[in-house]
Amino acid sequence: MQKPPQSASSTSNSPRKKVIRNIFLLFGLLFAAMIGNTLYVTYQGEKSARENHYKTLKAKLNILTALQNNALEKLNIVSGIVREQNQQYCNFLDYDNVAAIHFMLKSLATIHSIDLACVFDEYGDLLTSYPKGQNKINVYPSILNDQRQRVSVEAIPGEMVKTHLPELAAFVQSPEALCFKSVIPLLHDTGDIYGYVILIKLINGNETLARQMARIAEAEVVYYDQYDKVALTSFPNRSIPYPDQDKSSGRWTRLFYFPEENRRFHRAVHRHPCGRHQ
Amino acid sequence: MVINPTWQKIRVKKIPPKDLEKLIRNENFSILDVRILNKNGNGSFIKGSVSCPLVFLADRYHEIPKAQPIVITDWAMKQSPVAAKFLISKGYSVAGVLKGGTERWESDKLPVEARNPSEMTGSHSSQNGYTVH
Repeated sequence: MQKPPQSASSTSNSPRKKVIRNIFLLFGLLFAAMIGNTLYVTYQGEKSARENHYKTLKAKLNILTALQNNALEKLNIVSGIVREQNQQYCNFLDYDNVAAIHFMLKSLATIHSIDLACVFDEYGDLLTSYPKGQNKINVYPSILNDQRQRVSVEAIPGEMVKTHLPELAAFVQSPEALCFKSVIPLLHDTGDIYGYVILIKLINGNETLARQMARIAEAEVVYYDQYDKVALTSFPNRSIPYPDQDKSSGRWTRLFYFPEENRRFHRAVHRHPCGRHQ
Repeated sequence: MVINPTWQKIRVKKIPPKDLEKLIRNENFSILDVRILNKNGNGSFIKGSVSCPLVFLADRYHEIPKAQPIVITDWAMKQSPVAAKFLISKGYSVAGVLKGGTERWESDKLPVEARNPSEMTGSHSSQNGYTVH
């Protein structure tokens, strides 16, 4: 007896099915490999883009830091002029010639674009300032708490800005304003400190600095003060909320950076110690 | 006298001439003038002041009476703060130094008397230059 043809057809179908299955399997593997490769390439690409972007951010932050240091250096040069005039200041102080000192401050501030220049006596009492204050305030001792000679980024009471620079008061949203500050002790012939000259260039509302930073770093810049309020920005709209995540210690002033090419939120943190350490 | 860091910490009050004039009028003060005496120096001295150049002060300070507070002056407040610190460190009651020195006192048209510095360093002064008028 012969076997039925059914069994023959099943043996002839089996290799075909096997081949088809294998082909599907291979295609499946191929697709899986392609998808895997795409994912890997995308991941690598994003990683590389992130690294590249981070490097760009860092480079731009370095540019901003350099520009900030440049502003400090400018103030240091003006402080050098004051140090050269030390004898004149002392002579006028000998005679309590406040009018002459005021005139000197006025010339200095006008020529070198200093926002506020003050002269204090050896006890830390304000003798005169340019521009003069509109009201009497008692916050002056706080800016002379540290009497060391220095040029640095510090915070001054907002009340001082309101009194001496009312046109810039709108830029101060916190109890304190950020500024470039120089403290120059006046030395008498006897070697004693005879007084102090303090030069202040505000960061709050310093649009020239913001424009310069934005132009050179090709980025929009926002300075936040230690109260997380905008001190200076190159954005036309100044109400930029402080990004909450990853807050660092309250004793630091932060400098955020928004790249211009895409306005997606990016940031990097630049730290510098602020005058008021808490 | 050697200037040391402790001296730097001693605060000396600077008294403007007008305030000193009022003080002299109302209270008893010794006025000590510590300017260098030379014949070319200015001969205007505050009335009633005692002259003892700074260079002699370390040797002669014990001759200064401790009973009254002292106000120290010189010609342009170059030596008086140093003298004040020295006397404070020796336990004297120093009310302060004249701000701007006798030069400012004179320019403020306050009473001065003319003395001859060369005479003060010569026959009219005591051996070490401490001269009382």
